[in-house]
Amino acid sequence: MTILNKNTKLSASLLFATLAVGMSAQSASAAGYPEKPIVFVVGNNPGSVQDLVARRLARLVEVSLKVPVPIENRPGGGGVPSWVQVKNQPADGYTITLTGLSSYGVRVGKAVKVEDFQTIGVLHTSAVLIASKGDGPYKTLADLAKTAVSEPGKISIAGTGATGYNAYMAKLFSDQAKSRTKFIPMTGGNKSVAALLGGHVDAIGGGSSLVANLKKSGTVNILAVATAKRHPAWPDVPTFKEQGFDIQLVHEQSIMVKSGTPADRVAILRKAFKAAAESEDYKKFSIEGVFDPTWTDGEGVDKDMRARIERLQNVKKLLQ
Amino acid sequence: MDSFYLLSDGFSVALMPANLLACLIGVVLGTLVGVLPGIGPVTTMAMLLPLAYGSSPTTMLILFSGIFYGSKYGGSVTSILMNIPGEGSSVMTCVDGYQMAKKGRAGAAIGIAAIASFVAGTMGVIGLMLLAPPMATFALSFGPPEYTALVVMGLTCIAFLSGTSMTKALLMGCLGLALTLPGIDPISGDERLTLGLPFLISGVDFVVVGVGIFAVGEVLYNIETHSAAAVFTAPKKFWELMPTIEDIRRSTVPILGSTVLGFLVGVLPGGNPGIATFLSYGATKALSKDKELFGTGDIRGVAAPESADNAAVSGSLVPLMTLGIPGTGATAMMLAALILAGLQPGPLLIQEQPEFFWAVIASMYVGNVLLLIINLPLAPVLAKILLVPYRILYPFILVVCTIGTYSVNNSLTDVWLLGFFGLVGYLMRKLDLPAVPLVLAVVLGPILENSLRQTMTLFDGDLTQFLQRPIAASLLAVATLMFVTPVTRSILKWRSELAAAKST
Repeated sequence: MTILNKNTKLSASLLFATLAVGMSAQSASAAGYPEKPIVFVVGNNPGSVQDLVARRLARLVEVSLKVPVPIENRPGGGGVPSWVQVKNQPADGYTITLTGLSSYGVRVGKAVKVEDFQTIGVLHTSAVLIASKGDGPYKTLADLAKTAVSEPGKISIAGTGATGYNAYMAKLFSDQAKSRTKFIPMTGGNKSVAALLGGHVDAIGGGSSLVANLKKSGTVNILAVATAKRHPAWPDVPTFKEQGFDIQLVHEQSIMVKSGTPADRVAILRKAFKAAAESEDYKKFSIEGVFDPTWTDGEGVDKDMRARIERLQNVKKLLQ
Repeated sequence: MDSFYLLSDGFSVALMPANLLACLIGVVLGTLVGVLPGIGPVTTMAMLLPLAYGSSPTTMLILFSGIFYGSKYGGSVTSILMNIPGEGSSVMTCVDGYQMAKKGRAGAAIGIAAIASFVAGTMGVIGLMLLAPPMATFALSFGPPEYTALVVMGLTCIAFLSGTSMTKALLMGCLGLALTLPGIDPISGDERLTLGLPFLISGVDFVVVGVGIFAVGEVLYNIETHSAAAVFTAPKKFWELMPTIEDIRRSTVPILGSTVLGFLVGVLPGGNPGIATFLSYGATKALSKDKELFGTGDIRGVAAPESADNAAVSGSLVPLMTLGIPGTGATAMMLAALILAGLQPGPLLIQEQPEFFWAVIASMYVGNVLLLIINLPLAPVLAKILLVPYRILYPFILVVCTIGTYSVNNSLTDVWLLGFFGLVGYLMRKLDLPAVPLVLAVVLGPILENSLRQTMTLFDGDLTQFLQRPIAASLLAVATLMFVTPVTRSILKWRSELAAAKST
């Protein structure tokens, strides 16, 4: 009997201890988010501009969130595989993604739906620009427009993405110059640059960070940036608007999680990424890479996401 | 003379303890990840990228380039021993390397791969050191039309790899091209032939097709037909485990020629090391008198692609160092590491940072010597893996294939696809259909599609403009010659056989 009693007591106390540990762990998971690594999915190759942005942000939020934020690259497929990856994980805030909004807007609707995601926030990053070869015949946007008008269809502009902002910029430029140009879609920014420097195309469209180092050495001329004002890092580069073209396009990068992620966790992520995006460290990085580090909270973004996507899908239709 | 002083300065930096250690870690790590299919140098560098914050750009690039060329030394091991092509550029090594292993000459094959890699690696560094700026001009002379012509030339190698039947080879080539079609259309950006299956959106990965058809297919076929003892001839004496003087003599010309070819293709930022290996194998076979030996375990069939692959590594550093443009995934990682370490490579890099450039050059000489010292004695040891009984060896090969394939995208779907392509490979062996043309087309298909469609836009659909581009026109002429010669030969052979059959 006594033995049995002892055993019952022991198991009871063990049970109690287990329960207590279990409960404390449970309460920790509610209050103590995050308590394990947050996977940061990037839909591009390691070493790409987007990947570098994600790595810099990850390093900054790791400090404030006190957990590791490893990068998981899911390149190819125009970003779709990276969104599918986030969609297939639980909505617990432990899988997030950095996404180019123009690419997302064009491809959302089939494998993933708008309602699958909610936005933590938007980082305004590279401005779309147009550049020519440093020792080539086109020193200004006016030079390029002049040839485009006198010899319609002669000017070729290369850039990544067939239906993205680079192609849209080229389309707006030729429409407003009342002419016709050829857009050559490339599989990577580096390949556009190589085609430009080799004289195989007349100009390239791309994000500003693409040509930052080549501008310094005079290897490329940046003819115009598609922002409202000149970038502080490049006071000598005029905007499209200054040169009579109504073109304003910015490659926006947004941080997204799966819909249904608890609101308190979204708030924690939002706070951490906002602080990172507005930190001195990220500002310095954005000057080097010529980004615009403006943070927009995801709440407002999600409200007009459908309108945004409609605009982007119209752009796509226009380009086809 | 100037270069000599700069290089000796470079050596004094490269031999500093921290840099020497970085070089050693890089080449050892590179060899290890090269051996494993799937986990390539790019993944390894991505994992090590956080080290770049606050470190010296020189040390970082010594480490990363060590991983890059080290992986090429390791890559031949699984190709030769297990018929596993870890990446597009090791497909050709499988062809003769695995046949050599079957004949009990795995040690010789691994040994010649190490020697070929060393010679090509070292000559490639000399090329990079002396020719980088003029080579940059050559790199830029290739636009979409030239790449189209180059890939067409790569595809004509199918004619040399046909084995028994040209028709079957061409058919398999077309099947391979078709396999590259599902995914996102590069021009319109629309989903194409994805059949509503989410995993087809990112297309079919080369590793899944190559490893499935080559390695898994081979294992399945052997299980049915032989025991492993019958598949692999056991080497009897120790000297059989090393390349002989005769092997080295026969390999000398292929190694030297393939080094030049590999370096030139490597320099092109839109090229692909796969093209270099296919072309070097095709050229070596075309220029030899005893063509029938290729594919049956000829040592030249290992020496040529291995040297081309390694020379392409040094070549691919040319656009990175002279222009700041990365051509391959590995050089993009190097660029990322340099930027994170605070160095922005551009056209002025070699002038403004000579100590950096020359230290990296010097470290590559050191690294290649280290790799030869590590890899050559390992050849006979590794070759002994094949003496393991087949009921252990075959499951082991399948495990390596599965882990390698899974690790590319962390995707279980890829593992199922690996099984599917394994079955395809098995059936292809049963039906005597050649695997190389199919896999070659899978590697080259996407590059062909992109560059051809870019060219068509540039030319406004007018194909005759190819003839106005000297480089593209000459490459296409060579490609036509390469293709027409064996095809004509097989037609003539067929006609004479037909005539002989009629007369009897």
